Amino acid sequence: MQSHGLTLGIETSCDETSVAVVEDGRRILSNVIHSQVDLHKGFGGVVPELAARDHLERLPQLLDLALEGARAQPADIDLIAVTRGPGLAGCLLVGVGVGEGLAAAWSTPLTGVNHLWGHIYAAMLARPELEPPLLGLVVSGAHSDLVRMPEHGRFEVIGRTRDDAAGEAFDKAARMLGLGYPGGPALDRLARTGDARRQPLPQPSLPGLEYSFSGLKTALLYRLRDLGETVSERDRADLAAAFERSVVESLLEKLDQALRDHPYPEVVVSGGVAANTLLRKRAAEVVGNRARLTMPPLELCTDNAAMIAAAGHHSALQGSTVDPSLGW
Amino acid sequence: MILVIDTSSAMNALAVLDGAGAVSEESLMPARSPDLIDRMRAMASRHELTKVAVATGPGSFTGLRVGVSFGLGLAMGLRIPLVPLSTLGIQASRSDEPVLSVAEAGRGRVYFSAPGSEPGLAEPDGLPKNLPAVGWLQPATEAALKAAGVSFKPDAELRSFAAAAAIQLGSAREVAYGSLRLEYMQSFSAPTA
Ligand SMILES: [Zn+2]
Repeated sequence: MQSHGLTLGIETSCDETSVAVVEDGRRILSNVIHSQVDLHKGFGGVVPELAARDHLERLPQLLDLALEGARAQPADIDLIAVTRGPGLAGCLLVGVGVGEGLAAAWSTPLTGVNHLWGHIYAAMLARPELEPPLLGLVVSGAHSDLVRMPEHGRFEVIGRTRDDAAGEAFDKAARMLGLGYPGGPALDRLARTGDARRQPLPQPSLPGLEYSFSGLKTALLYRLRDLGETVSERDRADLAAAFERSVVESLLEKLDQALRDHPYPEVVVSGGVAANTLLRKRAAEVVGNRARLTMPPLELCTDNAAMIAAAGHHSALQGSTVDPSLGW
Repeated sequence: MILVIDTSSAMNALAVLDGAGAVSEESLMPARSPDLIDRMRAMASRHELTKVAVATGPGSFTGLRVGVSFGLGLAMGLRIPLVPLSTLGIQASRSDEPVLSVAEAGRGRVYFSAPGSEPGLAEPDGLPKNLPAVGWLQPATEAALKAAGVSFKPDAELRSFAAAAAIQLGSAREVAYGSLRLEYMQSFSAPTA
């Protein structure tokens, strides 16, 4: 069989359904993403059951679009890579099941991918010459993880959150501020019009490389309760700015500390929260000239299958494929 | 050849039928069996498949999804028709006499269906008692049904899974890959703010 170096990626861990075709783990031929935001909006959060049903219904069309977009035939696909976790169990089962079925139909090897690794590999799609060793900060609705990647296929989480993930904290704060769901982008917009100094909120600080955002959330809740009926548009904007600043500075304080503990030539900041305006700006300042900073573009920061394909390709190159249905 | 996958109950069942409905292979294993995927893969590779049929429930959320998603992926990959079958329909077809077909709904409850009436979801006490039951339940659920006065039709008087699936296939219709729906008959709970 002739090798084309094409990997088909499948991502269904949360509320994005995505199928992608990636060449040599670096070049995106197609990356089709369907966001379920509208489906979950009315509930103020992701409803796992609805999410899983939607993945099942969307995958067929996304698969066609991904293959067409890449001008690829099933016979061109050398590897299928599917997210095996972490994520919503029912949603993961759908992606893994479809991946297993396709692999059986095409007699193609299949590998399960750790979603967190995918977010790091998104940076290598944005910058194809990027190589480990690197320090990664993955921030999303599910993660606030500092990750050390000494070489391909090896990851070590050196810092994580004790309670909420950064994106989760943003979503909850947005809800308290009456910004609806999803909260991250709305909070980002409102914060741009506010002044963080007028309504300062505490900056969480734990020893070592751990994060915690629950105290900050409580502080915002009390502040809003104290302001009561008198809360103005301006207060809300200032509080959004203060909340955002506390989260961002807390994330970057640990990134800074990790960089001081150990030098890395490359730093990657990715995940859905890496779309945040302040985080992008401040990350560049904090990393400075100590390392080269890569922050993937927005479409690669949010959950997508291209990053899963890239991570799967590199794991397979290292000679390790993981049965994605293990642990079920 | 038609591959039939039913992972909706307390027993996982796979079968391969030829176009005329004759059974060439059947495989039963307990739900959550770790080699389910391997067996599905093996059956798919041993036969020249022309159609995939999947039981779409009602049934257990986890198991149901594994079989349905695999069947969908397999049918899409081979570009062959995909046919949904009703879990309760397959169980009803295991007998020529009218039966109460039942499937596990979790938390001690069961999905049920009797000829001429709408399928439902009930506690063991709420089930009709006038018909013998057929279906694959967890041992504890089956015991609770018996305690509530439901009688079960003995296995020896029933058709095999594969033969029952063949009967259901006679009237089943192909669906577009993107139109495959799971049947739960049970409301999901939305998160509270
Ligand atoms: Zn993610």
